[in-house]
Amino acid sequence: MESNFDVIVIGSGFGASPPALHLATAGLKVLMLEKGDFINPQKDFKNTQSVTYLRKYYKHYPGKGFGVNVIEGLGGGSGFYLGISLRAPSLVFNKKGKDGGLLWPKRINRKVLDPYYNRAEEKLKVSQIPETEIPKNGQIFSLMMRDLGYSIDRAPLAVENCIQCGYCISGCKYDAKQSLFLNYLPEASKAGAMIRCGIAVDYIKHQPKDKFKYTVYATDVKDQKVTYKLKTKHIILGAGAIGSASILLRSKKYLTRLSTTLGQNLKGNIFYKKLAIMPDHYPDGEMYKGYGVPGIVSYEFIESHNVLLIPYKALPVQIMAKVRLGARKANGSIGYWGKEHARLMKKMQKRMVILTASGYLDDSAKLTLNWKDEIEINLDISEAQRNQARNIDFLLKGILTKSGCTLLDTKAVNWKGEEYTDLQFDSTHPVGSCNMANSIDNGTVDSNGEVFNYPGLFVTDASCIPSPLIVPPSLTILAIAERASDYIVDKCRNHENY
Amino acid sequence: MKTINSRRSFIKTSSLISIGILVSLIPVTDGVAVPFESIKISKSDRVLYSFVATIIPDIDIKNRSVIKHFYDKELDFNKVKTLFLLQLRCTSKRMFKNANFDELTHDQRMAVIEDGLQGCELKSKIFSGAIFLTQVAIYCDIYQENQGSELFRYETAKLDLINPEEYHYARLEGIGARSITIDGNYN
Repeated sequence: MESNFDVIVIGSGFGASPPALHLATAGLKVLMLEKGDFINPQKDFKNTQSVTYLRKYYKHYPGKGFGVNVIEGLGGGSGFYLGISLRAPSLVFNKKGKDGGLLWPKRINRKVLDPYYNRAEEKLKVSQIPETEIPKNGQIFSLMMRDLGYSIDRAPLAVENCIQCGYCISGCKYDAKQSLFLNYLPEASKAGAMIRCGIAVDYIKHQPKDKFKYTVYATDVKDQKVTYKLKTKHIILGAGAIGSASILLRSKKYLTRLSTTLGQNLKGNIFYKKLAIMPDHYPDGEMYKGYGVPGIVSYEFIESHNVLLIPYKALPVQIMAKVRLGARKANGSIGYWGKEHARLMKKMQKRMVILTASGYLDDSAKLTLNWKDEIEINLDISEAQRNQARNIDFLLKGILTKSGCTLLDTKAVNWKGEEYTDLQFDSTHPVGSCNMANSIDNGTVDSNGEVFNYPGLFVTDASCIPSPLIVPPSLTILAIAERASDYIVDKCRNHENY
Repeated sequence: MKTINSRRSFIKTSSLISIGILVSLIPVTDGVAVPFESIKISKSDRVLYSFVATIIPDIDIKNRSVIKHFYDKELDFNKVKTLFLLQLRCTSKRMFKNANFDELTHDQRMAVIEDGLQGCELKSKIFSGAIFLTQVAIYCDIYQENQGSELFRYETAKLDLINPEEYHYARLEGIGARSITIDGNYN
């Protein structure tokens, strides 16, 4: 591999792909490094719930109080997301931290991001789900909300010509879900960006006086003896909330002037789920077929509880791997296995409803590296956060019971099937580990994603987003990465020594 | 009733064929031991099948993939499988006059599993892990990618194009709740 580049983009997901495309289009020599495997969607993706298959791409970081799920592979989360593409509501940009200051930099708000959202939506072909395609579970949720006098909205989805197989979570092999394989990545490659998979970045060094200000040290994932030393003028970190922060943490001894806040503000959307059996007066649902999401959301409680309500649609693996489902036995006790449990599982496809609230984690988890350079996540859950969790639980129970549903007993379990003994949050939407802020005292990067004290080093992925978004973050990550790309292209064009 | 009857007839037939050869495989329904086919099956697999049939009573034990998860080297449980089998054996013998787990009735097997779950921390973890793994493997059909699950009417990879009536109600269009946004995005 060549060793000198204008830009090295680390990662290949929502935060990495726009800069790779725009910088390559601007004529810069771009190298994209992806730690995960190369993916050819039509060949590699399967309609399956195989644990071996899913484990290849889904990586879980079990933390104390806060566990994080991420995707590893070309295209990052885009290969496995559900395609639901929402803009972050304005109220998110006004969120304050525990010190009373705004979490987001002054320059960033919904209005500023709207033009970039437009761009991202155009690329992902986002459109509101037509009423004729709303899955049954979405239609039933819509009826329930109507009966209770609450509002619902049809969700914008990044999907085109879907065959409704319901396997969004194991990757779309039909090219229907608009993953980055269909737009940014092939366009970046066509524009000249080199994309290399299976290469993990170890750390970064900075030599400010050289023409190539940064050196990236990397290792071949499959053959650890093969290492790379790559020089570059600019680096874009787009490896996600876990990946980007851990690269910077490993580079700390060479990048000594990084913000002390690095890794200290890990947050994310947290999901509260309630499972229930529908009353007879609602028609059958369909848990397995149709879009991976039921296409309906409700903003009814976004101001009061900071939650987005989503009727969940799940493949069995998504339930079984996360919760122990209790069934009432003849003697009144709850059983998690055996006859009654099997009977309940047979009801899952048509009679079960899973109401989800995507909520806001106020507390910050800490992401650190231990002496073996392994990632550790710790969250001390505050009393306020516990109260919030109780309130949301109460809200979900209320909606379901008022609708006549019979609540099911569930216990959250870890990946070994062990019940959690204390409140444990889990997020597939982690953000904030290298958060943007007005100054180095409050964050790792500025409002353009440029790392404080390190010109030319950028973070453009979920890790720079300073607060949970309540809504799924894919579109916002793209919008922020689009905005940062404009800034970087402009600087490269107009500042000779940049 | 249909399931029980067909199971009864299957068991009856298979037991007639194998009578005198497979004395230990006592046929009938819920009340007694798991009816194995006259296939070559190791002692430990018999125990594993019996365990799975206790966790998910309707399971089709003719399908060999139902114990595949215990052999999956990708899963951590593989490391404690031998210990798990040993515990099932010892507990059965202790609780039911030296009987093997696979010879016990359904209710007796349930009692053995309950005993495991109530045991010391390690034993309880191993038993709950085995139950969790069994439920994930079978309810999610993780080893039958191309077949789906008859038990849960789950078609998996056989899908090519879904009939719209299967996932959408045309008669429910336009009768849902009011919307509060123009395009699905909240300001």
